[in-house]
Amino acid sequence: MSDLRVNTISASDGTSPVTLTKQSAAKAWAEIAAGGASLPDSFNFSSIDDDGTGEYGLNYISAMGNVNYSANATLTFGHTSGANNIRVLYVESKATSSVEIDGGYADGSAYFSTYDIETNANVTVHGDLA
Amino acid sequence: MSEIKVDNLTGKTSAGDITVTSEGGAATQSLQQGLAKVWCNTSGVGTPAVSDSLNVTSISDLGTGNNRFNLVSAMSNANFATQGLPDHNSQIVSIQHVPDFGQTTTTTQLAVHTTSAGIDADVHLTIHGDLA
Repeated sequence: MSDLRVNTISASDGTSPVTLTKQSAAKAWAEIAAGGASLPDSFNFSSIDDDGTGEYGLNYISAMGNVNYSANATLTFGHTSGANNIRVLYVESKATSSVEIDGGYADGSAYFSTYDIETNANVTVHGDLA
Repeated sequence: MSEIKVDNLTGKTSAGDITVTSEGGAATQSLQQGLAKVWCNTSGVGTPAVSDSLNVTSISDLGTGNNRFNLVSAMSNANFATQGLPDHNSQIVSIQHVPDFGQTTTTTQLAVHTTSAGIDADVHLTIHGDLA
């Protein structure tokens, strides 16, 4: 078995990114604490802005190269029965320096009715860095 | 084009930290931090099973639509980012990362719901965070 020990990998020109054959690493991820109070653990996010109930602004350390990146989010919620189980997260806006995630719940007709996400949530981002 | 063929990559200064250059060349970033540590596609509605996966050893059926994923290699802490998406097309559902049993370094949990109850569905799971 061969083992390459190295601190930094770049393309042969010394500056361009190296190609991971048929793979792509996430460029940011985070666990968001209940109410958007903090990021208990994260990668490439410097801070979180509480933009209102259920509205979280996440600021990147290293900027994305464009706004056409993919952001995914899943909320943490303990209810497994009863009303208001349709809780959702969605991406409200994307910038190269930040992404805003909104959360809320639907009423009995499954219409999004109220911003309300006071539980933890998780976010991951894939795309190109600047 | 140069190409290195190697079985293992290890950080020289810190074994778990290899830096790679960004696509645009403006930044550098940890290779290990960006890699998904877990992914899984389930099959078998009603009796969930691992269809294909990385770092998932088994699924525990906790009730209708409610599944716990048991990991092979442990995460270093419980603050990792769990993502889930259900396979379902007959009614509006949501998927939730459920903390009923606490997210631990070796388990995570996803639940799929309608407006009134859990519902069985195949799910797609990914986890990003730090391995132990």
